[in-house]
Amino acid sequence: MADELDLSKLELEDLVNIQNQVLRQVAMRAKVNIGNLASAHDSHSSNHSNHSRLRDIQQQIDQLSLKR
Amino acid sequence: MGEVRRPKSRPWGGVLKQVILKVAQRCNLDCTYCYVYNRGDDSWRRRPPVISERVVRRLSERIAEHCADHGLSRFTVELHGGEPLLVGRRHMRRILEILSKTRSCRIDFVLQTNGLLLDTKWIELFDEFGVSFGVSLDGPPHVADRRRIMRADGSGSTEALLERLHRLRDEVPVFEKLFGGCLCVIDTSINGGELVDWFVGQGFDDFDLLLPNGNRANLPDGWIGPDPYYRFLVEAFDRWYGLGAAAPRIRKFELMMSGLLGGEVHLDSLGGDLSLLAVIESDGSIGISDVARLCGGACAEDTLNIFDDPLAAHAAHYRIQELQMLCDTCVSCPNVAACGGGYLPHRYDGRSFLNTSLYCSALFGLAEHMRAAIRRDVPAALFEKSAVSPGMETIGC
Repeated sequence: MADELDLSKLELEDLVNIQNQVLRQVAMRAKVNIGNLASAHDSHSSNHSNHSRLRDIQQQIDQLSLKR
Repeated sequence: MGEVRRPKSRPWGGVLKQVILKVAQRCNLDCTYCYVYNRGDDSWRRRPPVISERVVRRLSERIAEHCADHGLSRFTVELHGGEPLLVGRRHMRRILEILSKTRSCRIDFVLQTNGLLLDTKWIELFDEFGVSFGVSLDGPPHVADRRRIMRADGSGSTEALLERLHRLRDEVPVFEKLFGGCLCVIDTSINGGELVDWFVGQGFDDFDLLLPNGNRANLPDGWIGPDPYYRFLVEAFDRWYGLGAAAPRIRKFELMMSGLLGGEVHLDSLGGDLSLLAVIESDGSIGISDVARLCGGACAEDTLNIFDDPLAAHAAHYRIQELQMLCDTCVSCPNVAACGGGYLPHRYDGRSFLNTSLYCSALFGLAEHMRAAIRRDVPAALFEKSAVSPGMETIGC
């Protein structure tokens, strides 16, 4: 079995089937962030801010999890 | 013009979207591993200790020009040092006022601090201008204070920092909204899992674990090879991955796994595109990367400045795409999607960057560990639904 995914070919809803909660969150954040502008949080390693765009991503994921 | 190979998960050749603004060139700490003061570069000595309003105004003009030329509606200014709070609140207010009035684009402010000067008034100022901040914290005092020492007398700094952070969290309602989390430089004398537990126990739910900066020509202090880092990272990963709903966010782990899952990774220390970032020093010079200064030579000698040059000149002038090019070992590596070849300064051997990272075996081993977790925990149906394409592609430069 291959162990690489192409997130562009999956829906966000597909990823809720990942049972491990940590991995599911990582996969969903990665999916939502595809094509987005790099934020300050995840481009310079000597910085660790909480940029509003990161909060937007998490909000989308939380909404989906609530609907589930 | 030539061709470069890069992982598909690392979009290169992007437009500059962020500057790291060195508002202060001095620090009240003297961390033993610091890439600014203790890794061989002393360019900070020749620059103004505090950025002037003249430099900030010129930067604002350059950002406006850059955003208009490239159709950007937002641009990030990262306030950095040295210790940025050493500029004082009044001067920081002027910096924020000038930059927030930049024509035709919105400025997103972020800031990284050692936290020792933070107080309610600073948080209120950050709130007024929407400045999100991170704090550098290397773990419990008995570990962190071996390296994070006060410049004035060499004493430890961590107890005072923790007390300050906990008080501000309790007393200032907007603290949590603005606080992004912690940066922790790894000390392998502690168990990685115990360190994760310590951060969680202190109420920090978002942090990163940084590898000490260095390379084969400029080894980190106490270097005995990458094995202790591999051990530490796997211990930390296993603890984190098993925490379920209680798991904090750990940037390194999240982004390496995102790369393995097919997501995009922009972080510079995981092979992210350095074209997206530029360093602006307090004298207005434009540099490649603050950490790359530890490599010396052209990396430490800025030959552009905001008074004479547009911001967009940075990527071509410093030949960033060429510098970022991966060596053959990385190009053929099954785990390059996770680490992206590592941090550019960690790949330097005294002559070139066309090498694996000093930490290659630790990052490779961690990525293998992550792949095993992904194989185990992602339903087979998702792999089947998602046709996998090769992890590398070639682009012109």
